[in-house]
Amino acid sequence: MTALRDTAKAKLNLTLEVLGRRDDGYHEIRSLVAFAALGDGLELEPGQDLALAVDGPFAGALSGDNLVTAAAEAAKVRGTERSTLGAFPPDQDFACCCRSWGRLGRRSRCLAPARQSQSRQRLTDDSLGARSLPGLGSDVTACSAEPAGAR
Amino acid sequence: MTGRGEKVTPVRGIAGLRRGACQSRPASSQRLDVYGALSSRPPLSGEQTDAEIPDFAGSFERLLDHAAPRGNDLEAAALQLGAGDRRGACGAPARSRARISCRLSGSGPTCFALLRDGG
Repeated sequence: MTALRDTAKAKLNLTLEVLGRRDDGYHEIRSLVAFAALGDGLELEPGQDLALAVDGPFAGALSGDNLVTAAAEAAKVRGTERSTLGAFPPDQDFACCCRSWGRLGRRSRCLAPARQSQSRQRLTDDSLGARSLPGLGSDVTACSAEPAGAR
Repeated sequence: MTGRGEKVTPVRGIAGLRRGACQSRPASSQRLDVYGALSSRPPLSGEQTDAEIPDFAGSFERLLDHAAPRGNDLEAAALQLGAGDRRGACGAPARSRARISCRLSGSGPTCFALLRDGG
């Protein structure tokens, strides 16, 4: 049963300036981004264990770390707010199935529609904002803030 | 919202990408590798101030005027790590009419060009 389905539009960095290296080793950047009409598909299905499946022409190259898994793991840490990751009961984990639909196959694009879907469910920034998912990087923040006019 | 301290300001009123070309492949050069090539960058000096958001007045052309002369500071490092074939494949069809000639996005797995209307 697919509970959520959405498209993760490709994010394009129209500009990207590296401002310098931070004390924590990351780099401070300034970027103007836009979103293309094409992207990956994402499906979320309820399940007992967290799992990720990727298919499409680039699936074979997309093993290893994936932002979808990282976001799901980060959300699980929140425990009682687990149910905010879609329409899942709070006592149930979810399985995440990412399908690239033969378009991009980018590993980091899959998180965005999950967050957009959450937004459409009127979830607040406080319930599952990027601040609650530290360490996931700037793509999460940018995709979450995607304005309608930039799509 | 902050993850690692990001600040995102949406640019409102832009109709969207009307002409574009985009090609993506799974990243052969990983982001950390690209940023690693920038390891010689000096540490930040002092606290960073928020960037001033240009007033595009809803004009996509103004947005492109802002973006076109600015580059991607990661591009040189990404090219050194093997992203050149992607930009080359993208650049050929876009070279004659691209408003922004073929450019790598971010750390390089995607390249794109933005084309003039009617191109």
